[in-house]
Amino acid sequence: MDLNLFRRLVQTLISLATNGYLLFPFTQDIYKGPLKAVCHPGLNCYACPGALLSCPVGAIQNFLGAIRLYSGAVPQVGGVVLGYLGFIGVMVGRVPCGWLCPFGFIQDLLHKIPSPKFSLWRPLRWVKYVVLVGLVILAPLFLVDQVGLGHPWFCKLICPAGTLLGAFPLLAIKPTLWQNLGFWFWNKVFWLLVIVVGAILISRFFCRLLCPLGAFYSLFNRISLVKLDFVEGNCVHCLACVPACPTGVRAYEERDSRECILCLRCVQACRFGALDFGLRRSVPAPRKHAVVEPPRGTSGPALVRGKKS
Amino acid sequence: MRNPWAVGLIIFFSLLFLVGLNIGELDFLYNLGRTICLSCIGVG
Repeated sequence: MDLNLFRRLVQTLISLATNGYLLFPFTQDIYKGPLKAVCHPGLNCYACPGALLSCPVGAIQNFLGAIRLYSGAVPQVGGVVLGYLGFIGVMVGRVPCGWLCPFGFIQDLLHKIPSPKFSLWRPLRWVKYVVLVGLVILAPLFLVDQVGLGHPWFCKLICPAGTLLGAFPLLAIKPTLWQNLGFWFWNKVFWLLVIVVGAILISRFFCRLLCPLGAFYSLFNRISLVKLDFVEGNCVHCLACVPACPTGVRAYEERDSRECILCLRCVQACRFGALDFGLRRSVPAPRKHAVVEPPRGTSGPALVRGKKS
Repeated sequence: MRNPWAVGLIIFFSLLFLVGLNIGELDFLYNLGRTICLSCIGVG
């Protein structure tokens, strides 16, 4: 099967399966079953009426925001979520961005809308790390209300998945919510519009610019157990991999790029077998130099390559 | 060892997960998921 078609199939199945609570039009409520104790590996709002899993970004912010209110001996800092995300990151890097994230899938679909296409100014990719540290970690920890509770500021200010998959369906099934709409809602609608237009014009606009989850996973792209392999001898510099990459990575010159979401479109685009996906092989350790006693009659130590001392 | 950083981090994150599990973070997560996140929908 065509690799890209297979990825589309996986993205579709994961998005539908993790948002498969079909009773919400009848119950007029979100899913409240035991699966909500598990986080989605991608960005998927848990306020979405169909969502079966929790959102890792929202969960981390709420753990950090409630840290002052916890009275136990060991503070709850979201170890289950951090451990879960970190484990995934070390194992497969940004594979969840390319294959499992419902909002990434939505952006892939949006980018198919015919329009002029642009590339993202490369320094802007650092913004997502500012979002991760500023809005997901520091703001919930330090911007607290009178009772000491921090808010999930990323969700409150920006998160487009919350607006698209949470707010709009909930407003449709719970008309009473309309009475409470104000600045925060319209601010989020504005950001959603910016991100939707951005995703149409620029491939994976939100992932590259703002996504804190992608920023977190990207920290592991250089050590993860799987990676994109580049076989330099097979590369003819045809540059077929460059337009294929949705995140603007030049696979032939950027090894283990933090931007790579391992979607493998470049592997499919390369007709010369210069790119492949596989387990990370360790680079052979440089041979150690050993200083040994010089032969009689000579002066100074002799340096012998390739022998252990 | 082929990838010592990865192995070390896998152990670290597994321990972090287990500690979180042990101090009841799963209940917090479950209760969180059962309530409508007003911030997410721009109401709270």
